[in-house]
Parts: sequence; C-alpha cells; structure tokens
Amino acid sequence: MIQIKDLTKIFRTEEVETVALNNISMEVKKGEFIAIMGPSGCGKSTLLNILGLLDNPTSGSYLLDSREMSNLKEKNRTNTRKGNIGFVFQSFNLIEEMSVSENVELPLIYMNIKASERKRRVQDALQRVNISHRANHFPNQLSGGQQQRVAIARAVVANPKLILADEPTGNLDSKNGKDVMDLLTELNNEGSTIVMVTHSQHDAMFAHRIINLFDGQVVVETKL
Amino acid sequence: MTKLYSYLQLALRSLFRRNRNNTVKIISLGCGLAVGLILITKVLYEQSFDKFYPEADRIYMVYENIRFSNEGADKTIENSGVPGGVCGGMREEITGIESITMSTGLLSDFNIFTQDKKRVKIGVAILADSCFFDVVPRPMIAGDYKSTLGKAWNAIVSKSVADKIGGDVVGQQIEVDEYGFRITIGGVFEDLPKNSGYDYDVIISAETMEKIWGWDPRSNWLGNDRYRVLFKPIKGVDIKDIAAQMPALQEKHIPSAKLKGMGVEFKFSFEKFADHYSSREDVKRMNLLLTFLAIAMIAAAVLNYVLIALSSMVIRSKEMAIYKCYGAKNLNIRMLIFTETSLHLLLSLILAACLILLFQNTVEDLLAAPLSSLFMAKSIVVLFGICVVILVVASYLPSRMFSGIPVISVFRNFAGESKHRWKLVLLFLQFTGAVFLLSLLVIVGKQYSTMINNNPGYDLQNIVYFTLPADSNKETRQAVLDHLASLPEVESVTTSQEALITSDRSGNNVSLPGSSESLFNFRDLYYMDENFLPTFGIKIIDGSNFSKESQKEEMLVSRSFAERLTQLTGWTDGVIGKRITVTEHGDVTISGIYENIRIGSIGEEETRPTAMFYNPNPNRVVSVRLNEINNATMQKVSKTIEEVLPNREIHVLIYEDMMIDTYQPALRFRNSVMIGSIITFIILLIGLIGYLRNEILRRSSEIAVRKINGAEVRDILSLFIRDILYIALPASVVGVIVAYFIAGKWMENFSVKTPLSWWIFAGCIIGTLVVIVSVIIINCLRISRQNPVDTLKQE
Repeated sequence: MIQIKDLTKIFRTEEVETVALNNISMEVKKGEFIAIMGPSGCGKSTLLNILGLLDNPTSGSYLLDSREMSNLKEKNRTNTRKGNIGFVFQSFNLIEEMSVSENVELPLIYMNIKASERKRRVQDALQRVNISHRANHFPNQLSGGQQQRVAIARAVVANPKLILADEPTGNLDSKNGKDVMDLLTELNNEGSTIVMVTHSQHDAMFAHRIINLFDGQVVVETKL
Repeated sequence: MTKLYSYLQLALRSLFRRNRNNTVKIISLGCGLAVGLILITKVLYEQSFDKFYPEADRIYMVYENIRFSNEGADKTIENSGVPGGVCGGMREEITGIESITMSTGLLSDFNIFTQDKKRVKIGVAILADSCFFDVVPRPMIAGDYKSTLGKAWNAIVSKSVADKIGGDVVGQQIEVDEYGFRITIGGVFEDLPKNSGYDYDVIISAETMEKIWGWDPRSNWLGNDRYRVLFKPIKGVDIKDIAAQMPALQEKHIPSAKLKGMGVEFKFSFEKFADHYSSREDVKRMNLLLTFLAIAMIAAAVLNYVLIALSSMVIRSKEMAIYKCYGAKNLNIRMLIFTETSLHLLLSLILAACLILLFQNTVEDLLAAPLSSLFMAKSIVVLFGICVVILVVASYLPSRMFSGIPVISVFRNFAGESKHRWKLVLLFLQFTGAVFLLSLLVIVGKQYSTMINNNPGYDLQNIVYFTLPADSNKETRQAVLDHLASLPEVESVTTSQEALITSDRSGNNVSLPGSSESLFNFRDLYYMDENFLPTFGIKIIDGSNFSKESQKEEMLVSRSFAERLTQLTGWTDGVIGKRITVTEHGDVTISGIYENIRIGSIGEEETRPTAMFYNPNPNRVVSVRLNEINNATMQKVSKTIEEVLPNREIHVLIYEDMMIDTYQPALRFRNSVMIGSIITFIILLIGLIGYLRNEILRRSSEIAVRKINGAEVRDILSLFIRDILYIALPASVVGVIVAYFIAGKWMENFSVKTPLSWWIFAGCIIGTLVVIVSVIIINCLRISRQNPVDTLKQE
C-alpha cells in the first residue's frame, strides 16, 4: 500500500539546514499495523506528515496505492487525503464549536456526501467506537478518553485506506489508553491499515511491526 | 446550502468562545458604524436638498452677478434674488420656457389669529405668483393653487398649518398678528419634506404685494433684488439657448450704458435649483469634512476588527489546520471566516441601530435633522453598499490569512511571524486615526471658543432685545421705551430698524452728489436712535454720535467705509462733514466714524463696510441693557412690555444666546468630532488591548526565558512599550499632519481663526502616547511579574 524509497526531508532556514529524514525507504502492506518509534527529533512526526500528505518530501519517492505522491501540489494532496487517510492526534484536535456528531461528520462534508448518507455513516462510526450516546455533546463535555474515541470515529468515518495515529494515547491515562489501543486493534482487524507514532513500548506491542528511527534514518525494524 | 448553514452554526457557537474577543470586536465595530453611518446619512441628506421635486433636474433658478468696475473679478457678488421685473420679462420675451414663477419671503416666526380668535404660530410665509406650483409642485390636499394665488389677499397653507388652525380651513379668513392684514385660505398643500432648501408654510398670492407695500415690484428691473425666479425649460430645449437670449433681455430693460455709468457690471446666470443648496461653499466644505470623519470612524472600526481577528490567528491556527486536514480547501476556510464576519457585521449593525435609537435625541440635535428624514431610500442603498464594502474589507484579510495557515499546524503551533507585520500596519493606521481625531477635536474646540469669545466690536453682555409689532404706532413704541427706561434694572434702552444679529443682507450704493457712478456697495444697518452706539459700547473714532438734534440725512459710517471712500475719492481731509449720495436715502452727510463691527457670525459675517442712519422716531427692534440678566429682570422686562401692549405675544431674547445660536453648525461639528474622537479612542484602546493580549500569549515563553536570564519587570515592560512606540510615534506624526490640513480646510469657513500652534499637535501626540503607554503597562504588568516557571509549565 505504501512504498517509500530514498525519502529525504530537509528543513531550511536562512542559516541552518536540518535533515529531518535521511534517505528513508520502507514499505507498509495493506492491513498492516505499524508502530514508529524513536527519540524526540528523530523524524517520526515528519514521516507521519509526509505519509498523511500534510507535507511534501524534499526528495525521494512516496507511492500510495502505486500512485506517486511526492510531488503533489497542495490541492491534489487535499483531494487525495479526502476519504483515503484518517488522522488520530495526541491532543485529539476536536473542533470545540462542533458537537461530537458534527466533528465526526467533518470529513464527509468535504467529500460532498449526501446529508442522509452522512448521518448514517456518523451513527455507524459512533457506534463502532461506543460513543453514540454522546453524539450531541460538545468536546469540552467529554473526558479525554471519550474525546479520543470521537477523534478515532472521525478518522474512520470515511472508511479510509490508511489511519495515521500520532501518539494516540499520549494524553490519556492507562485505562483510557488501553481502550484506545483496543479500538485501533479492532479497526486493524476489520481491515484498516494503521501507522502509529508512539513513544510507548507498551502501545507499540499492539502493532505487527515496529520501525525505529534515529537521526532521520531507519535503524531497526522489528516484526512482532 | 448545508455548508452555509453549518458555517453559520459554527459562527453562532463561536460567538462567546474565550480568546476570540468576538464581543469586543462587535462592540467596537458597532460603535464605529453607529457614528460613521449616521454621518454618511447626514452627508447624503445634505446632498438630497431640493431634489424631491418631480423633474428636479429641469428646474432652474435665475441668479444675478454684480461687480463694481473698480473692484477685482473676485469681488463679484452672486445673488439668488433678482429684481421683480425679471420673471415677467422672461415669461414674455424668452422662448423655450415651459413655466416660470417668482416668489419672495415675507414673514418668519409670526402669529396669526384664526376666525375663532385662536393664536397660531407660523414658520415662514412667502409671496408667490400663481405659477409657483407649476415649477416646484406640491400635491394639493384641498382647493386650487392656481386660482387662489391669482387673487390678492388669498393664500394656500401647508397641511401642518391647516391642522393647527383646525377644521375645514378652505374659505377661512386668518389675520396676521404683526401686520394686521387678513388673508383668505384657498387651498391646502402637502408639507414640504425636511430636505427643502426653500422653506415655507404659507404662500400668499403675489397679487397682494402691491396692497401690502403700496407698489408693484413686478415692473422694476433695477434694485430691490429679493425675488427668487424659478423656471422649467420646455423639454428638449437646451438651457444654453435660453441663457443666450438673456443679454438681449437685459439690454432692453437695464441698458449697459446705464450700468457702465453707474460703474457696475451686471449679468444674469442660471443654476439648477436642486444644486442651489448643495453647491454652497459652506455646505460643500462641511460635507467634505463629515465624509472624512465618517470614513475615519468606519475605517478605525473595521481596521480594529481586522486587527483583533488577525491577532487571534495564533490561537485559531490549529482549528483551521484540522479543517484542512480533513479535506477543507482554502475556499472552505474563507467561507467560514466570511460567514463569521457576516454574522459579526450583522450584530454590529443591530448594535449600531440600537445605539442610534437610544441616543435619538442627541443624534437629531447633532445633525439638525430628524432620523426619519435621514434614512431615505437612496441613503439605505448607499449604506447597504458601504456595509458590503465593510464586509469584504473585514473578511478579506483574515480569510486570506486563515486560509494560508499550513495544514502542518495541526501538529505544531503556528507562530505566524510573517503575519505579525500586518497587525503592525493595522495598529499604525489606528494610531494615525486616533491622533488625527484628537488633534481635530482640540482645534475645533479651540476655534469654537475663539468664535464665541471673539470681540465683534460691540458688547452684548446683559443686553436683551425684542421686536415690537409692525402695527404699533409711534406713541405705543415710545411708551414701551419710557416704561423700560424707568426701571431701576435697566441701564439704557435703544431702538433700531434691525437687530445686530440678523440674516438680512440689505445694502445700498454710494456715489458722489451729481455723479451717477456708484463707488461701492455697503451693508445698510438703516435707522437707529442716539442711544444705539452707547448701549452696545460701539466706539466713535472720529466725528460725533447721533444726538437728539441730529437730522434724518445724517449718517455714521464704519472705519472701513471711511477708508474705502477716502481711497476712491482721494479726499485728504477725511470724510467727516462730507456729503455723499446713497441709494434709498438720497444725499446725506457723514457726521461720525465708528470702529468696525461684525455683522453676523464668524463664517457668515458681512464683508462689506457698514453704515447707520438716524431716526428720531422709535423703530421696531428694542434693545435693553440690564444691570444683570436673570429670571427676575427678564420677567420684569416682559411684564413692562405687556403693560403697554396687553395680549400681544412678544418674545424677549438674550443677545448673547442668539449670538451663540449662530454658532450652532460649528458647535454641532465640534460635538460630532468629539463623539467621533471618543469612540475612535475607545476602539483604539480595545484594539490595542486585544493586540497586547495576543502578543503576550505569543511571546509568553520568550518573556519567561528572558526573566530566567535576568530580565526585570521594567525590562519586560520596556520590551512591549518600545515595540508599540516604534509604531505609535510615526503614526501620531502622520495623524497630526492630516489633522493640520483638514482643520485648515474647515477653518476656511471663518475669518477669525484660532492659531494652529505647534504645541497643540505636540500636546496631542504626547497625550496619545501617555494613554498608549499606560494601557501597555496595565496589560503587561501581570505577565512581567509572573513566575517564569509557571509560564513554561503552561507551555
């Protein structure tokens, strides 16, 4: 599903050049659950941004479903992202003005899906993460664990091929963290491909494979 | 539609969210719009004068242009009053005219008695011929104007006058109190709208002129220039073709040889009646200033809105990035911000409307027009257009900036450093506007103070005056004077034909006996008694004042009159005792020269020299110098008049109040600027506080690091103060420069100007900077005192 070859990302300022990713190559198969680990500043988030089409690499190749993504323009990246990639963030990133169901509905709105269909899909997604009883609440009325479940519902509502999770349990206690990891595992079992960035060895153990980065390079790859 | 609805829903929900400053944005925008839009409606209202007549573009007014041969072209006097013969002459001898009419003012603020002896106060009565409504039509509610205005002692009245009289007024006879004559009402017309530059409540038939004055001015072609001639050309006829026929008409009735002999150049010209009011220099100047003020107010409010909106970028960057992350395009973000701005603008407009209604009386007083008149169809269209522009301006920059937030901000905070420059530009503009308005306010206030305290050449303190009825005889008038003079509270009493504060512009020409050449025109103050000059404290500088032995052919002239006469005649031995010929008065002797006095208010004062004539018999205007003006002395004066003239309504007026009244336009402008300045200052402070809050948020970790490295409270405060002063200081300089030019333009209205000293501007700059620095200190004190560890923990 994902094939990366010699991917490099360099951040340049007037005086400094920082190599965030240095000739990385890797592959993620459909239905896989990958954990990316490494110390702060090793390039995990940069890699996730590029995988999520939020940023372009400086050089190298990124094939998503055999389509080259590395040189896409912002508009094309946006269009490709829609419905294909779901995001789960450490800080949930729910929109405060939107209710739970509206937050989950957000990706569907930009995909121009009919209102009745959206409603059905939102209900399904909320039931899937077991939060449908809170559909009309607002994010500030939910606990952290509930908020992350809503974020996961939003990530999966469009049935994306790929779910990218950036430290999904980073802001949660162990119980809620476990729930979220169970949920991601369940989604993976249902066929979703998941790439998760984490600092937690415990969370990484839920994945099929762990990729360790250091100074922008893959240093160890461990199959579980 | 679904998206629009969801944007609206989001905008509604975000209204009261913390750190968005939406309430502040709406209040400041609402206040700015309230003042700005109302000033725009005032300007539009001023420009709408006399445009309500059907086919207003086809109505023309005749002007005469007069210049003395010995004076420069710039001394040409344009007069909208022409001799009585012009209308008839044009009607008979000029081709291409569909209808033409003449009219003239007769009475203002007078009383009438109805048939059932009810006293009714009337505003203005004019005399007009039967074609008046053919040219400037008003719908008739009852009766027929044509036949009524064709008969002497007949009149048509406005609906409001008819309502005051009560019942079916057509056929009723009314008696004019002051003059004692009776007129029959033959019709009722709809009231004139408030934006009428030619105001009247009663139109008396022009056929009555001869009966009132004892002569018919309709055959006169020279002098007595008081008739307004309005006409409509036949459709398709070029006004230039009519103008081209005027020299021949003039030559026939006022031969050029005769005019040349008089030393006068004279010609007729036309102007659209609808432009008569709006083309006045004072109206144009005031409209320009009010427009400038309105734009400054609206711009300050809108820029403040944009500034606060942009300041919240750091806080909202993640929200925008989430939208983008889930597929929102730039257009979606722009639409979201646009909908938010639309909602804010709508709420601001509602707030503005509430403020206007809440302060309706103040607004109406300030603008000298009722609100209902201000909001005409045209105004509403223009206001709508302005609101659309405001919406575009207020939403464009924020929507552009917000849509430019990179999607990557979803993972890390958006610093928005490059957008910071925009905020500084907006802050600069706001400071400029605030200093401009503050400086303008100080200058306008000083000018107003200069005007009301300016010495007009006479002392009005403790002087009251009133006008005796026109039908009062010599004995009655003398009795009033004697009774008043006997009061211990009265220091002196004098009578004159006119009050010193008058809108009358009557003048006469001076020539030498035996010569037909006019030397110059002067403002004739007509007749007064020997007590006039002492009562008003007017100084005689040469010759002597009138005395009881003075003759009717004696005159006193002003210093400028004497100087002009000396200059033109070459007399080296002065003018005292010299005989001159004055139109209307014949040959007269100059017995004294008085110091120049100002007639009218500064800005509308008479520029011609003045002169007075002696009349031993009491005139209608009585001026009384009291030892003190208070309720008791005023009541005593009124009671004394009533003893001699029972059942006559006579208003005693205080001269100084009337003089201050003449400065109402300047006072209104000062108050408009004052309200504008206060609101702009509040808006500026709101904007500054919003900016500072976001700056504090943006730089909190920087401040903490600085503190950890040894920075003290003073250092942190100076960090903010220095940054703002870099903007505020040049902005203030620009503000005072703009104020200098705008105030200078406004002061062109006045002959006496307050000096624009450098310290006024320096004071305004310093005052503004002190306020700005105080606001910075108050807002930044907490963060500069905060424990840096706490700040970093929050990070």
